[in-house]
Amino acid sequence: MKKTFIATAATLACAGAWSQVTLYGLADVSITHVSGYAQGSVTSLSSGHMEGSRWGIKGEEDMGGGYKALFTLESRVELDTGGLGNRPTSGNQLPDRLTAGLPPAVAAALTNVAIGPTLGVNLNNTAFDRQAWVGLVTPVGGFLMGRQYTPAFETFATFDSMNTQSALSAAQVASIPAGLDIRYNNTLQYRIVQGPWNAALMYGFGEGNRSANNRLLGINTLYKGGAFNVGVGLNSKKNSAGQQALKTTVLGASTARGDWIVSGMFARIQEPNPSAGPELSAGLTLAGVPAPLISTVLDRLKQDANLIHVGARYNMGSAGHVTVAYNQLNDKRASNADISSYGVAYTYPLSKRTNLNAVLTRFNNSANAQAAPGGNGYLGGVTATAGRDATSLALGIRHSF
Amino acid sequence: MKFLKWAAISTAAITVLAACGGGDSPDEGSSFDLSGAPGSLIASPTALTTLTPAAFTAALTQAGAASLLQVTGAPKCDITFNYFQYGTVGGAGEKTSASGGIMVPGGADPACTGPRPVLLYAHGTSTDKNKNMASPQDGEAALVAAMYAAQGYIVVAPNYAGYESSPLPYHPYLNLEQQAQDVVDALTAARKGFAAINATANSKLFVSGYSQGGFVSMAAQRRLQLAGTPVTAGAHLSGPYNLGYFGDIVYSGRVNLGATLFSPLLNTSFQRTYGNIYATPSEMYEDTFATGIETLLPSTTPLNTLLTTGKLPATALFAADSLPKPAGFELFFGTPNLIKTSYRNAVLADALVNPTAPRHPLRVAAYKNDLLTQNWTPAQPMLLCGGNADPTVFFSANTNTAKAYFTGKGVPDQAVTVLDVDSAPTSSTDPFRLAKGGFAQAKAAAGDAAAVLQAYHGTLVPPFCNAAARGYFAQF
Repeated sequence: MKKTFIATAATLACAGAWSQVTLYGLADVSITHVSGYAQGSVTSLSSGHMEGSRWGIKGEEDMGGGYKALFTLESRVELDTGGLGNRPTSGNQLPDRLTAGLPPAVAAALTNVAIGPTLGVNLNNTAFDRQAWVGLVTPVGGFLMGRQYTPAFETFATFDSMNTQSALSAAQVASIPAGLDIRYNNTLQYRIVQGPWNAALMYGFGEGNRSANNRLLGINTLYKGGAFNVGVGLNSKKNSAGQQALKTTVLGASTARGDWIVSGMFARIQEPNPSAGPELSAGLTLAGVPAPLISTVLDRLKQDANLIHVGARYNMGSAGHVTVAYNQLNDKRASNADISSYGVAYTYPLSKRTNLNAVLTRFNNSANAQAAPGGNGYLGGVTATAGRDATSLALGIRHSF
Repeated sequence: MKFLKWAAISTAAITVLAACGGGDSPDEGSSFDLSGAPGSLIASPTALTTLTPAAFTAALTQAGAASLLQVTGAPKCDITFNYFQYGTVGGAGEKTSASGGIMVPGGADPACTGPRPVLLYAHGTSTDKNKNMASPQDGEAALVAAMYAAQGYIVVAPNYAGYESSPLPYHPYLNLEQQAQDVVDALTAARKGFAAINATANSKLFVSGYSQGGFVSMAAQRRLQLAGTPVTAGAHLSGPYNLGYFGDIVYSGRVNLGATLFSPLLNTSFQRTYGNIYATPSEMYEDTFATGIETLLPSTTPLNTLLTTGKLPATALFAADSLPKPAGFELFFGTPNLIKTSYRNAVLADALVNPTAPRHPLRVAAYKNDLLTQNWTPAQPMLLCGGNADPTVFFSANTNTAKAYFTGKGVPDQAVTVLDVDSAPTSSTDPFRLAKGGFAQAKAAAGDAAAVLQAYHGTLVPPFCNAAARGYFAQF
């Protein structure tokens, strides 16, 4: 039951065309219980465990002849606090492998100043952090401009059995440091749909003083045949110094057989230069940290990892659906911080717009890994020490409007 | 179950793709051992700075230490100062970690290339909690760098448990087994990181240290020998090897310079390990100092501040009216004093009744950690260097006694070389004539007798004993 406003003035002004604006949103709250933190197990009320809570306005104007204008403004809203952003339960704490063996003053600076306080979601309280874009659909494809989801994320979200929802999502094992750019600013996206095929090409203009800096290139193509679906996606970006930074390649496939959907996904995560390296380096230099030590710090933020996901969903009609999934991050660097997670998620629909969810997820951290399970809209942070495992249990309600 | 078959195929395809997607070195980046195990290298060592011979010379000149190069010779090698952390144990066997430095020589000079000998260096007593042998700003680190690393030695110099990054809330000062394990753990860990910092070691291992470090280096030589991984040679400099007897001398009233610092470090170390040195600190310490004394040292507060703010007395170990009070040692008796007369008397009584079979817990602990009560004989050669007038670590009671002890154990004369740098060269072919001559010059330049006494242990002897040690090692 979407609240639809017919923009009569616009309709009158543009004879033959019509337009509408929709207010929409999603409210998701869970009681979560997560073990393994430095402070022990933490029970809390969490907003956005299944999906980030949000409200937004979107609209379109059909101009006829296959031409259409679109826009979306979507704001994050934290139902636990009413705020716009959130921080992980572990606060400023960093994975041990980022700080271990460093001189105490440097480790403390990274934890308390340079990196620790930057962990979180939308910490600068951007009003329309989730999406903000305008677009024009033409007979030869759509052109969208603004802050948008990236092509690799679109592929990832399609072939993750959990569709990035809950602690059980594959994305949760690659969150600190981030293995995938979910959204990007300053982007121009071209989208095309041909029957079951769709494809996207994205260019993210640099926000900095040179167009090559912070640039992102993204591309994907998805085949959604229903019974069989397959897709690839790629994001590749430069940091503010123009160095190759995070690059994520995603390959996924799924098949539907009766009441079952089985999905598999592979993601290659490469970050030969830290995405925030130049800023971090400048800050540490200013703090008097010697250059060789800064190189050590930057080196520890590089990524070279493979992520594998397999999952299966069983649909039970009016009784909802249950999903099991297994995720594995294989850290190919010497740090060897491998993580695996697995669990089960159950969604029970109370109505078309309201459902109840129960998710149980286990995180197994290898000796140098310490990921803590979070949720779709927030970071789990890190467990007490490297190698400490964690279990997340979430019981919640989700209502969309 | 068709989907399962599909899933299997899909996974296989993914694996192939994964294999093709590689190309990067599998061991890129820092490796970690976060197990906390003794001898573990917590993370690959990280470079702090690299100094060329010119830059190192300039740094020493700026620090007013350029004259050191007259003793060490001009630097030949670039020196990279690396920092590392390692797993080890505390005085009661508790798991902990500590940090240290690895100085790696580099550059084109033939003395700096190819496989290099390794020196394990144990630092002297420091009241500075942030003591860091990985930093060229540390005077002792600079001395060792100039003496060894600049001349082609790889130097491993641990900071010890209780210092710098170490979470241990005290330092197991002169704890024979812990200190030996600490520095050997550091060496074990450092070797694991050599490849990552382009340090190529040859088969030679030397161990040396000054003052506390002289004790520690001898303890390390013993430990490595018992472990079946003996050193090539050791050079133990101005160390309190004869800890039990040395302690008896101090309590007899012939107090050493610096005793008001050494005493709380040692008492706390023993108390943490044995728990019976006192029931409460006020049993041992005068009330003025008892509160907080167990966590006073090492400290991030400068020593002078500790003294001027009354946290410690500068020299008054014993009360003004405490006896015996030998002539010439009046400086160490006064008000306020550190050690209660009742405690001193109990130690003295035990020393009188049980001179060699101590019963008093402090004496039991000191003799237990005495390097000359361990019933061992060095199987590898060692140099024992010091100055006979050392007011801080008495030469005769420690160095001469050690030589006599080993001789008594049947160790051949040439295996334990004693050098008193404060003596005249025996002949024009005396291998230590340069060290002796240099020391005589430095002593003459130091000023009057009081100035010489103040500078003797900490400033005058170290460069020359270290130079003698390097000369001694060169023969192996």
